[in-house]
Amino acid sequence: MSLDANKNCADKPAKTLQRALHSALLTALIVFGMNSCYHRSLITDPFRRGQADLVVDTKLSAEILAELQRQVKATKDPEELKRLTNQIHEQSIQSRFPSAAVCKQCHEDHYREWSVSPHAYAQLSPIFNAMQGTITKQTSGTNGDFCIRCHTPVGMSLGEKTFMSNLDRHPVSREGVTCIVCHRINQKYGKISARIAMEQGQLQNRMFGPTGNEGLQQVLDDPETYAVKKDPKQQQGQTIHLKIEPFFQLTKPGFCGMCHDVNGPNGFRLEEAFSEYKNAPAAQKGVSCQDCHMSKDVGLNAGYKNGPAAKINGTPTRQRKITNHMFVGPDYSVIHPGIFPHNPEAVKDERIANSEGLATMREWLEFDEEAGWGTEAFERKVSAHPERYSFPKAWSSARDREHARRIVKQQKALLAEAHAERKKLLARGYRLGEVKHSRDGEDLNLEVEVFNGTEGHGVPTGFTAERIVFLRVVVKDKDGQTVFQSGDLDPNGDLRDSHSVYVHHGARPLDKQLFSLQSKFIVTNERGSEREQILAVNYGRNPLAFVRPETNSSVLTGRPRDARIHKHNIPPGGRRVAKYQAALKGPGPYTVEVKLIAGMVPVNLVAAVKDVGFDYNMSPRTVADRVVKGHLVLWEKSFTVN
Amino acid sequence: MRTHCLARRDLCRRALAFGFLSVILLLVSTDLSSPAFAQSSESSQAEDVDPFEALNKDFLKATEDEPEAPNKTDLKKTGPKKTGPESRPTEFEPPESEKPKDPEDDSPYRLSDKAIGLQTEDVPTRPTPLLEIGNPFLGTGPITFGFETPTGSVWQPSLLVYGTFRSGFNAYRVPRASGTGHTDIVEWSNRLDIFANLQLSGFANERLVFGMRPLDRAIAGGDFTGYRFEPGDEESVNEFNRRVTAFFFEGDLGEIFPFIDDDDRRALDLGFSVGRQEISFQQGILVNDIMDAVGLTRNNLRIPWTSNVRLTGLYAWNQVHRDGGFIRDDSAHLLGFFSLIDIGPTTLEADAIYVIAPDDTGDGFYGGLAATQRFLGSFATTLRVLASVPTETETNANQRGTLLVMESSWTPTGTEDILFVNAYLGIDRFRSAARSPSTGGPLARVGILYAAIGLGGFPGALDGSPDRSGGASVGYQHFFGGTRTQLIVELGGRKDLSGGLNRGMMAAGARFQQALFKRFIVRVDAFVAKQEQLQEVGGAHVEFSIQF
Repeated sequence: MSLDANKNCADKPAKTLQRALHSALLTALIVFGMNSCYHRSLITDPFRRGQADLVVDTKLSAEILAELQRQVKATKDPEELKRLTNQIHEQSIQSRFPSAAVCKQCHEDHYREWSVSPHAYAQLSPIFNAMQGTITKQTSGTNGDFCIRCHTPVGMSLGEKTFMSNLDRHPVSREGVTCIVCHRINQKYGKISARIAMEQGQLQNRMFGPTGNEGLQQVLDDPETYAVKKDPKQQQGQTIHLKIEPFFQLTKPGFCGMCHDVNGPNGFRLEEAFSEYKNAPAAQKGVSCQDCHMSKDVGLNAGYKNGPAAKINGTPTRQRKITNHMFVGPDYSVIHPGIFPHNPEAVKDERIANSEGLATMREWLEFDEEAGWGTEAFERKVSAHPERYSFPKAWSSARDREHARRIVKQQKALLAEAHAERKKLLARGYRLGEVKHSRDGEDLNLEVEVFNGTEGHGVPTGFTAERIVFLRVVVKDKDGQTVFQSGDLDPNGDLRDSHSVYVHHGARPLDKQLFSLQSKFIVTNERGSEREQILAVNYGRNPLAFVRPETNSSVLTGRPRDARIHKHNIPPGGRRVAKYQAALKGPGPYTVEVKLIAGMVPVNLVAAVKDVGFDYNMSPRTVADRVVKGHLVLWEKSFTVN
Repeated sequence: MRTHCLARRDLCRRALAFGFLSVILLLVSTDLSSPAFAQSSESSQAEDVDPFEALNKDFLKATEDEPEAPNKTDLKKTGPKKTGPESRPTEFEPPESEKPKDPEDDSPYRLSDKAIGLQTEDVPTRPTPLLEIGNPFLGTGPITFGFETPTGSVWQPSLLVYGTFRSGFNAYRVPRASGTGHTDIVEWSNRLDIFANLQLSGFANERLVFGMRPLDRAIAGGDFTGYRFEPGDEESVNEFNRRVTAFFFEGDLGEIFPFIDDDDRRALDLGFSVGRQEISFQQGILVNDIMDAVGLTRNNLRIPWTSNVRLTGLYAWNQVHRDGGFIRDDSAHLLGFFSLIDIGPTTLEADAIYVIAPDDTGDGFYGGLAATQRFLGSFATTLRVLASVPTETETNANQRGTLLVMESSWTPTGTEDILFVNAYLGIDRFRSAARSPSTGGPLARVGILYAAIGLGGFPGALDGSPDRSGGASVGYQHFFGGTRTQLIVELGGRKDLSGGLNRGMMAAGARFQQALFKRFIVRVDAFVAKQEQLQEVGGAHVEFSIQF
């Protein structure tokens, strides 16, 4: 509108304005109404939310519900009422999302491998829980279930809160990437950042596997030998799934890419494992993710084991290709060995009265395994001086403590096995090459070569901005005194980079020669270049950082407007040379130690997310100490210079 | 006539106020429908829900019945009251004096060994968007199966409507065009950026985006719906419009046509985007326009010694704005090639554009090189060299020039603050390849004093034209105890190097921003500027914005 037109204070604009505002208000009310109605419809219409299979389960549940109602009428005890309610709830969820513990009955080996895997740990991780809670807090809740949808697809499908204690989550939710997350998917979703729809249904419903029904049919054709139920209503026999649909995609890299290529809703390329793979030599050679990560020798395309896929009531099924479900990677557990690895013998679901398992998760957290509870020596002391000891109620019995100790021992053995496999995998991915050295007066110059040992992806890959792989170089004089070091840790266990709390506050010097392959989250400053941040929430440009789809093409720019990852990883076939200059003091000989070390996450992440608290009532220091304890020396070299 | 006129004005004001209030109410009401509030309202719908939902609710209720500590999650719910040494029997508890003392225990930088339990009350629930159809945007609950397209990809369509509404008062003084005296302007301006995102699969893969700015015409000078108090008679400004600012589809060819590479053996993950879209490279200095364009991109290219290489090709055929947005050159075509390379501590951007245009605007080549690096932990710099080179006759829209821009920042020890020092040097007359009229000049990255605020006519304190001039700014951004309150203060200046009027200019300004609740921001801007041989000018801006 021109200014001239307004000079006469014409009626038309004012009317137009009025009408427009009324229209806008009306539209807004309609939109709001539609929105509310739609949200209601989501609750009432299971078919709209991918729950077609609930038809069967609803019927089953209705029968159970009727039984419950009968029992509810019969009881007047509120505790009993609560127990019955919980039991029904448990039953209903189990009939939609069968637990891995149910699969364990026939697939013992697969379960064992999975139970200690990063997939099984995904949701239990207190660092993850605090990290996603912090991001949600910093984005005013708009981050929603973005992070956690990958970590507990079942929990999110159940509508659980995004930030809560795992102790209060449903047991199947706690299983993280559990069996059904892969074996109840039947569509090639592609790179969808884990926005996958699982088929819901009780155990007897169909599952999906790479080879289809052939092996299962053999079992179903001989129900007496295997002692299985062919009909869900049958009283006797082992309950099993009655059909396996072939879903060959399970053996393809694209299947892994559903979760292992993570784009933020705003176009942030958070993880690019699958994208890297597609551009890697391994893809061109036809070597899949599964070929190396589920093979009989982890990290190598070494072929697969052969064996029975299941043992049903002790009877093995026919021989076939067996894949390793341990999926070891850079992550490791920092939580109590009583609650991880998953073990139905160990953990009891406190909501179910007759649940198997020695103790609830809460009770396990009170079991002081470090103090030696349940060991012979400890219990001998207790029996000699019982008055000196007091135990939580759950552990007042020596028999229970000894039982717990046996379980912990098994758990630790499994953790150690996974740890060894992890080391094997990482040592194959990262290689330490030649170390050159030369003297220039009082200076010792070092060149250390690190190269990518895989053809499948960069190293590190995936969540590269929070993976630390670094070189520790120490030069000692003839008296054993350290004259130079890089890659050492501050008192919190952090590398001395700019994110170390100590370095950030000037309490420790920056490690200027640090060689680390950690990529960095970068945010664009409101003015003045960019800066590294521990979390990629750019509050500098907007005090109310909101997670919303980018309004321009983030595909063309490869990033949202104000944040990105600066990648530091080594691509397949690539190598890096770390250069050091150490000031020596006097004549030698000097000992030089070079170590290539891999950690799970930097300790500064623990510091950055600590304010929302860690699950299992862990302190930041405990979490950090356990992170550091898991550091692995992948390769090392030492030599002497004069 | 005068009375009649005032009555109309009054009516208009009321209507605007009513409209503004209704938008706020709408947003607040959707806030109330967010999960935290919805829990109780959903419970009341228990009779309508399926048995599983009902059981879920019962279960949730059962767990919620457990006593909770005020404002914080009870430790009982997140773990034992005591873990570690505290829970050990007395025999195993060494006396305090015998405990190995951590020499860093007293350090404020040592991580605490005190557990605080989960602070669930501190983590907000998801604010419900204005409109979402299909899978809730980042909401919990089951996800739909979607459907398989004829090409074999699986789509799960969901629609989200989102955007930002800004409303602000501006009071500022600008010099008259005649060069003598000044004009005072007081105005109330509104801006609504509204978008609809139809996500077809996953995130940032296949999606259709539609966007509008219905309250302003997105043209230079600031024509925004609102009210002008000064100069002259008060008057309402009506800039309602239906101009589409975004309507594009983007996706990944490998994902749309999975059958071409069923075994995932080929690098067919080619991203593309087609339609009306904002194209911005080199932080909007080289090109920053809303154009009809098609682009193709590849990420993760493997080149020795690099960690990541991205290449993008672009062709725009319509709505190309030349001469800083003053000319909409519909017959101009733009060809662009853009790259980003992560190499060591540096990120390189090398971009080139060729514009083919009729004789009255002229063909031209535009290039940009940038290197961004961080060093010594808390320092960062970005150096840019940009050039515009007419390949035919020079025109106003198409001139020869070079622009050097340096951005640097430092995070002072122990703070999250940012100290920045930026500078530019304009040699001859650099022109962006294409620039939308609403984006101001290409110097916006040099400082907040060089940039218009994008709401009303409130100008940048310093001239945003780089023609034969040089300038710098130094500023400090302070965060008050967290991320939601911030203040930027800045001092800047520029000098005309053409030898003509020889006018230098200095300015000082500040910006304060405070986030409120889940959706609201209050912002205040102010500046004063003094140009040689002219009177001081200045202005203040107060803004309230809603994100939805």
